[in-house]
Amino acid sequence: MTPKEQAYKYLKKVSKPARYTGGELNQIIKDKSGIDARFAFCFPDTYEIGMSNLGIKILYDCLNAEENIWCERTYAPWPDMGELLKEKDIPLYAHESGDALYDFDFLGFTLQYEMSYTNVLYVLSLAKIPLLASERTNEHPIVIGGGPCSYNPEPVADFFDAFSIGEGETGLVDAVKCYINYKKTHKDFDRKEFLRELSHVKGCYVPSLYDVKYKENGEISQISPKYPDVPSIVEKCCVKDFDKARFPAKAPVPFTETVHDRIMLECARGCMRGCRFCQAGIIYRPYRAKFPETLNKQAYSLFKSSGYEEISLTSLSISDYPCLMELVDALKEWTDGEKIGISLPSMRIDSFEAKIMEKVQGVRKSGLTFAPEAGTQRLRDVINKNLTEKEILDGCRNAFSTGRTNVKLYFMLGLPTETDEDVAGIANLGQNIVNVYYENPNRPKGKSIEVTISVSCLVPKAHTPFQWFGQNSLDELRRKQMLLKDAITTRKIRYNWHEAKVSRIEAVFARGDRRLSKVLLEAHALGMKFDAWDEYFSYENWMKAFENACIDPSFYAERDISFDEILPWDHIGCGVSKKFLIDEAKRALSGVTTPDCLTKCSACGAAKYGASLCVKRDINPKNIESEG
Amino acid sequence: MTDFRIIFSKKGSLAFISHLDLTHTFIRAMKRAGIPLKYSEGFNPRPKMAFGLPLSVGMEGENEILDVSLSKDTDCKVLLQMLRESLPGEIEIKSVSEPGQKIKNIKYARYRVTFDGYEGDESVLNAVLENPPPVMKHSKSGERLTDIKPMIFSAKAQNDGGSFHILLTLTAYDSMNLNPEYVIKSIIEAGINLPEEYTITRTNIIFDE
Repeated sequence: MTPKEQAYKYLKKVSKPARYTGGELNQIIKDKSGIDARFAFCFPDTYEIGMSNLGIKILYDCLNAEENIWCERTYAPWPDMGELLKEKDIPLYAHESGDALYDFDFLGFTLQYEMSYTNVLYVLSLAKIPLLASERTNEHPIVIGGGPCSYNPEPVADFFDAFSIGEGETGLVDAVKCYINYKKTHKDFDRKEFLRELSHVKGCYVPSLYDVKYKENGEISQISPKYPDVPSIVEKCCVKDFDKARFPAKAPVPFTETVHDRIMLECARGCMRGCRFCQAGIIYRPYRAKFPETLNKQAYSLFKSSGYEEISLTSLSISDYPCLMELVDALKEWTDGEKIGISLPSMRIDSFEAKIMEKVQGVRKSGLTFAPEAGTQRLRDVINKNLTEKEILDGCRNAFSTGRTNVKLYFMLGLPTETDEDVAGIANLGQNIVNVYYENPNRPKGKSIEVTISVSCLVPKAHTPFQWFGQNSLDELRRKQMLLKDAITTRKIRYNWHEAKVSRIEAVFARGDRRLSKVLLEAHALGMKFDAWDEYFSYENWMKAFENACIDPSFYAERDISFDEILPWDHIGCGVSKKFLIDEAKRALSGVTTPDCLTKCSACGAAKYGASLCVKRDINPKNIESEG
Repeated sequence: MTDFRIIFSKKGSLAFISHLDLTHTFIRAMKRAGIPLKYSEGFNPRPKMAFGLPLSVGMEGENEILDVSLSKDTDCKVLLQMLRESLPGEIEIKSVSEPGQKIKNIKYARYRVTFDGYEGDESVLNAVLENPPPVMKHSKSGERLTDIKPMIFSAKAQNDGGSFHILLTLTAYDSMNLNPEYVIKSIIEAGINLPEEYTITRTNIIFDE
């Protein structure tokens, strides 16, 4: 009996048991006898969140496209299920075969956010796999990580045998192929020897093959490979021809409701705008767009294989997609008849976009969303958010004239150079939007406007121009949150703020080094898990974990780092040069903006990937093709 | 014909999906197959479909009812074939026919509760089922002690060597809807030591004659 079958008879007792059964439409079942490598892909959070992730759908498809590789899925079981598995001594299993994770060749984790790190350890322990890479034997799976957080993998370095840095369509498949090749050419599997070989594969980082030395003041003095054949900088993998990149025509369709339960159509990858706090804006460079014809075909095949009733057009900034109108028109030719809705997250709403919005939404009117991130033009220039107050107010005026009454605004507190005036500026902007609403003589009678202001705290991230700037202290963040609260005088504005304590822990791990693995071990020993969930996050427990590990969190979160200091992630190459990031940090301090990539190339370094944006200064796939 | 009654079974891992999930599963399967669903009017058009009775999470169903309306004239056999090809294997279509009796006329549901390897005394259990003790039961007005006897049309315990079954016919309309879990609860209330693990299958849904 497989562990999944063992778990079956107890499933009635846990919440939402359909999360643990597998068996979804389009799941992939293979005959084990023809398989050379079994890969279990784990999203270390709930099934509902993991099943919503596009990256996993793509990689599940890429790995399974190889005849001799079988990729399955697994997720972090909710604590009631975790308890049950422990109590009944059932090891965590993969959903397709129901086999225990410890029987796999690979266990892959996607690291999407720092607060999932405790869940990585939770999953490893439920899977009965040693937490520390150094304690695993030849019999254990190779534990490999990827995703945005792997661009600074150091805080979790001790738990992973390897990381695949960058876009997994090529990198991850190569890593598994290297394993198959190793097994075929060696009589006995030697874990250490294999990992050494893996370190030669593009994008593969094997943390145990690097020495990190520290100065007395805690700073890093040296990061160096232990052997000459191990690369001193691991460069990310990047898909060059994004239009032809493999994209799943079929993906598992959950029975039970998930967070994003719809077709996700990835129109473009990367972003041209260069907001200085944004990690995605750097690590996914260069910007690459797909042909509308390609997307239309992919959307149709996904619909025919899933039956979904909604298509979401995704990219970091969908407004920048050059063929948006054309794509929407092409989609609507068949989606209208099938009663399928099209949604456009992350729109910027100028008049052109208002036209598209009208097209896709028909009679239903959703609210309007802006992310100015900062309250004054001065500070928006510092962060390079090229959105002016006039643009915001014009967008609102436009929307109000079509009867909308809801506006949502997103901001950050704790940005570099931020003053109390900037904080108060957030309230002013909100007030100005309210005023614009009442200027409209044709506003709906008896209906009030609602402006929602949501404020988070800046978490300086690795590989961004803001990586050198310390986070504000907890007290300072709280003071600013209250300052803003007092600055809002109208009841037309709703004010939400994020708990600064969560941002604080995120900041520690976002800029952390290997010594933090100890903290995570302590956290795991305290039973911590699901820290991305309010009901499980406990700041007090985190403080205890830091104390037990004798580590001062403020060293990582609050410290301004000098430009010449060695950063814990300096040996991970994100495709953008450190010189560019330093220049950007300096420009931020003097309030100078940097144009987007289409307007002018700022020589960030990502041009080496040969994307058409960088080579021909053009992102419209149509033009590029006609030029031959 | 545009109105149909679909009789299906829901088994295995699909026993764990909720009623809402089952609705989505059917809609998606029909859309994949290109079955011309009829939609309601209004701002938020929804497919016109109705299930006989919702099935609790964890229960299997052998003869569940779903009524659907299509926008185009369709043959029963064609619809049956399309559904079979599009639905996951653990939902089996047993028949497609004209709707017949209205869903609001459903009166009873039959259940089979199975205890594997239980060696209980049938006669003792049958005696309890004759006069089941009242149990705390959820209703619209909150949880309260409820006499479930009027909601049990028939009940019988039966040991067929290896498996022990309790066969129940329970009322299944409005406020008189009884989940078989309450019958189990009542038996335990009477002091009988039932095994913790058991499976419940709804075998039939019965209309008012």
